[in-house]
Amino acid sequence: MAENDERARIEEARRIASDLLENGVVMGVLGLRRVESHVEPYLFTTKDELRDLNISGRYAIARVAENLLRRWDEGALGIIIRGCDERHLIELSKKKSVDLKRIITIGLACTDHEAKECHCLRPYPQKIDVGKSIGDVDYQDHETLARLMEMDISERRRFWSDIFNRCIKCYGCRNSCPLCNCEDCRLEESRWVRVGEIPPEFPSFHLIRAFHMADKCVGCGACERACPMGIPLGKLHQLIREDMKRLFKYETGLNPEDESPLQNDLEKNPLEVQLDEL
Amino acid sequence: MNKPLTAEAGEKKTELEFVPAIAVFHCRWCLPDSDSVRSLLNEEVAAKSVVIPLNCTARMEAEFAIKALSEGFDGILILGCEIGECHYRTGNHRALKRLLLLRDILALVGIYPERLGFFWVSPFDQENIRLTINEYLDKLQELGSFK
Amino acid sequence: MNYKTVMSTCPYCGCGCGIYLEVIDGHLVGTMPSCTHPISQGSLCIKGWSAHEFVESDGRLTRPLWKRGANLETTDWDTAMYFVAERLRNIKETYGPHAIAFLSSAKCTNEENYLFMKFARAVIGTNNIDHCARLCHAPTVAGLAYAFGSGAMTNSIPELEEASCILVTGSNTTENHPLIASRIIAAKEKGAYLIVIDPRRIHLANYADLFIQPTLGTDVAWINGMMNIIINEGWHNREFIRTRTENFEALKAKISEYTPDRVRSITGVDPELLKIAARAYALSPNSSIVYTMGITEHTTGVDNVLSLANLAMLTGHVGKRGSGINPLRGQNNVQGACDMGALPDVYTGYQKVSDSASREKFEKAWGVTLPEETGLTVVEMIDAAAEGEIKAMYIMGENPMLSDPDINHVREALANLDLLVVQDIFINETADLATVVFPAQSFAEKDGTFTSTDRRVQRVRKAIEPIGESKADWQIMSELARLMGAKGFDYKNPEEIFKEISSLTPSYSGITYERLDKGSLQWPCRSLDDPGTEYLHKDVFSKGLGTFTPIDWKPPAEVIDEDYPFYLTTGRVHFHYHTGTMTRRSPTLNREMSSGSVDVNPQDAEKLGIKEKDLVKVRSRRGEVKIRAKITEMVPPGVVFIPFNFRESAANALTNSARDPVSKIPEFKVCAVNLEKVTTRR
Repeated sequence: MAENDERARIEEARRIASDLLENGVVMGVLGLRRVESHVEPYLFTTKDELRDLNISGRYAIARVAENLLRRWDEGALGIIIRGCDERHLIELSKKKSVDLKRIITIGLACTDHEAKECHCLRPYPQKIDVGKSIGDVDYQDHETLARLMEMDISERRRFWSDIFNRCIKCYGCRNSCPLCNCEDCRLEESRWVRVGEIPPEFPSFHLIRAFHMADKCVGCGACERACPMGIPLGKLHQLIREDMKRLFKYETGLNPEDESPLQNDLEKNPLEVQLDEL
Repeated sequence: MNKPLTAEAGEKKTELEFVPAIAVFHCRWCLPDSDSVRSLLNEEVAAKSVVIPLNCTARMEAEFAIKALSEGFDGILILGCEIGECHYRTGNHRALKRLLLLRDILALVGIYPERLGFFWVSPFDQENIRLTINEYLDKLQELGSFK
Repeated sequence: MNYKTVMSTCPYCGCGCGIYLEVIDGHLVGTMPSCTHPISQGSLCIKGWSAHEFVESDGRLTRPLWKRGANLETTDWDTAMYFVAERLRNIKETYGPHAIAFLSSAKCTNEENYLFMKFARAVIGTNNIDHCARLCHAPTVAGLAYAFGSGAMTNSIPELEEASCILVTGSNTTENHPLIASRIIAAKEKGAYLIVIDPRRIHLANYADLFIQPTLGTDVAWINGMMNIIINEGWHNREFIRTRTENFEALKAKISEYTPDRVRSITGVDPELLKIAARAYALSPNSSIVYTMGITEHTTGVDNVLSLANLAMLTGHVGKRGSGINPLRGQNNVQGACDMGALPDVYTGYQKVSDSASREKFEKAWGVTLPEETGLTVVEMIDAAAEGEIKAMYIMGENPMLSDPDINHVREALANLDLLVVQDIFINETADLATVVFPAQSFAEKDGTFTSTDRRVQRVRKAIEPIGESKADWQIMSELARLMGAKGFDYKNPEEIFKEISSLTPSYSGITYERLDKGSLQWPCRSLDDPGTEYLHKDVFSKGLGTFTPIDWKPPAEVIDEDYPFYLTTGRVHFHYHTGTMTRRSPTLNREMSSGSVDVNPQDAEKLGIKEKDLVKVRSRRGEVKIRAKITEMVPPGVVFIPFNFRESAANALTNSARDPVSKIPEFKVCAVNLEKVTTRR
């Protein structure tokens, strides 16, 4: 049943991608293809190649889209996206890293099972072309989040400094994230983080990244999946996202026209909290 | 100038013997002179601390504070113009938002948000600034060393 | 326009992570981890994430070079090949085949190592072939083969997560095998007891339940000490000893001499701590040992390995899922290079050249007569070259001018050769001395297979067209062999070579490219329906009964004295790989660390008036280097550490080439040095 469903979704995605290629509206369609033992990101440029199209596997593919559009001056790119990929693209557009006008999306709604696997809250893109949306869900890892919140501040300090000290500075959290794409990365500058040391100093490396991502992170979890040392970065970012909502009523990935409250004055984005705590 | 500001603070110091090292960032529009900002700190704290002028608190990036913690400072104190008084009109709005967020993030990983002090000061009320700083230092003393 | 990702295997350490090379319009632009790969599971270390960076870097060799006067000048392939063929033939005729020696490469594919080995043996007719495994796990290959019958990692990397106690010794795992460290951390999260025993306070020590810091070069003593405690407490596994091992009584007699007090006087280890370690290791249901160069790179390398084998057999912690002895191999394909017989005493799959049946098998397959005497090892070749017995060396993808001990001696030896052929992707310190340099291809430009540390054979796939006129090592060897009139070198592609390997190697006989396309296979894999072997020695050791060996502790070859009062130990750092040929051309890695430093304990630093980043002169009986100091608690007082990755401050100018009598591994891990601050005149 589930397998049939997957096959039907692939078929539908293939049909739409094939139309896009046939009509010549896109340079290619970015998606995943199955090759023998694995599924890998691929740019389909002919209908023939679409034979191997696949939708399993989680790759933050917006990172690739941004790279391709940057290298090619003109033309549009088709891309098969899930909800998180769409939110990446919206945030990339806010950063002026991607011109959404050059992108034609084939929106894929995640199944309940897929949403659960990713601890997702919104497993669908705004424009759905393939599959049926299961609507908003709450598959957060509440157990872990609650554990983190129940700790008192000194327990939290012990927990995070201990777990951050596992870090081997692979930069996987940064590299896997489509939105952590600054040309000059502060994490690489010896002024902010001592170079050539593992673990990187606490709290510089991790908090600089956490702060930079606070108004960008869409909660896809790629950073946590990429971490070889099991640092629960996704949970930290989820908590920060909640802070962004509480402080500024701001949510990422919704509308390319939204602006980060951190870039604006108080008249445009007033605070959502009383200031007597200052 | 550098005598203990209150008897209470003096006593506390002998009890705890912990003298915090702080990084002070101040807006140069409300507090033009770093030396006079330094003179608001008691001698022992001043000896371990750095005072850095900024063109506006808007220039205060989260990295400055985070790196200061990494480098062993126990607190970061930011002194800037009151909302409405910014030379650049809304520079301090941005600073305020950033610092509120940073405090939340510090708290999430178990760093007392109070270590990040952010105060609006009026250049005409030195005594109030002094009091504010002292309260802040008292709090740091209570929290102890960051490392 | 074109974008594709090509699934391949990481070219750095022995973990064998699956990577996607990202290719845009024929250029490598990135590396991504594979989410479905059994080792990498969506993660990589910084070297893996940067694996594409060196491939298209400016310094790549694009044309053959040959020495004209004092300089290397470019030439064309035909000229260079004819020249080398002619000179090799000449030297062979004049001085005999054994005047020629070959250094193979743990960076190259299995197919290339096999061909290189075949070239040395079948075309030239010598067993003088070795490679850098001699400098890392030769004692493992010898020691574990003696004790168990197979010199490889007994378990699989993923299985480490199933261990209930992990003893890590002489391995700075988070820095040098990051994706294996990831499994150790995962095991610990599942409740495993982690013991770290290392002279240095390594990163992993922070996560250990128990950290023990013995004196450098005292491994046999603390291992014997642990066994003494285990036997006295009755924690040994009598059933296992009775049914699966031999020579226990001899071991027991020897072990009784290593009382906790005596062990303390040798190692400085508190007997109470050793007892905690002994109990945890012996009594946990699934204990595993993880070790690397800290155990092997000693004049007692084989002794150290045999001692660990004794410990595992004594407690029955081998031959089980998640439980065994796990030497982590350093290079992406050092396991493969050994498997392929790039060693002076064996053909593929460790079939002995001294065994006439094996020899006949290869003679028949290759249509030649093969030499029966064992060839020279790496360090012996260098000595023989220095003495003028070796006239020609052919070095494929190695850089002994930085990786071998006592490099001043290496330089003299190589300079003494009539012919030095170097085949590499970059000019390096060794190529500088070459008569001819052939430009080879990187892992991204060719097909083939690597065998990673857990005996996992995996595909390497061509992602981009060759850089310049470079050729794959297998092509160069085939062409050269044909030029020298040899038969049996007409391969169209690496797959054909692999078929020949499978046909001659029992442990690889079930492995084919077709199967590898579906996923990795771990040897032994003996038939097409054999799923491969996750862990070795289940129910019975490869050689039948496991053999205990009574071992006495011996001090290092060089000990400290008044003139040289510090111990120097060497190793790698996280951000670089070996001699830096690849990593130092990678902007990401070079930005992270662009020079070496000497680790000095704060107490020693204070005594010598050395401050962080001060320039210090480190001197041994063999040479000296100037290097910046890094003051750190990672090394204990009296010990300094220098990474061997950096040519400007080459640790191996200092190291001792004294070697283990059995495996011939040099003692990289201990020598005596002197340390002084360089004072610059104002």
